[in-house]
Amino acid sequence: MKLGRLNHIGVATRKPLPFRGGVGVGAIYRAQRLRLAPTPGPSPEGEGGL
Amino acid sequence: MKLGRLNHIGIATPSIADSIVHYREVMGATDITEPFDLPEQGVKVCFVNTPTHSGMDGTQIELIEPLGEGSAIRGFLDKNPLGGQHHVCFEVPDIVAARAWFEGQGKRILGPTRIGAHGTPIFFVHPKDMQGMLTEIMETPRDGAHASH
Repeated sequence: MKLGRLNHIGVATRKPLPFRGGVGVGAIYRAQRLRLAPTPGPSPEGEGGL
Repeated sequence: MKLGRLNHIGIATPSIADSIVHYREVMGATDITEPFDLPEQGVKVCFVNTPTHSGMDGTQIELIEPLGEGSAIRGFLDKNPLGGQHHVCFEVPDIVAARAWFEGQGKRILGPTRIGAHGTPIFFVHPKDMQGMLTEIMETPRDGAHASH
């Protein structure tokens, strides 16, 4: 193996990371939640979504 | 102050010789400097150079081994016998202005500004004022030299 670029240093922090649209652990967590969320569908009254 | 380049990460080790073998044989490092002593800081030092897309001028790994009983990293190794990440070092264009900036924010600076392993002025900021990370601030080498050794 050949050593590659030092990409980043992980710095732990006690507070939750802010969501920045694709950066950090918080973004991964949010993305997983978004994928698992149910697709909005029509209301029982027949119009619109959730 | 404007954040400068991440120059190096300081890694404390009980044995630079063993760490060099690790970085060369396990991590595949191909560019490692010869170890040298910094007696005024009580450490022996060498640098593992890492590549960028254009050369071997990436952020360095600074391996630091205690030199003498009064070494500044002796306590760190007592708590972490295997060694580990000790500090991070960022470059600044003007060390005097940077020191004034940190002092103005009430950050505790450890000792005087002194000459570091790259031959440029450096100082350390207390980890308790820096999100738990011992932080070295170094003046960018004027000649663009990556390491003085």
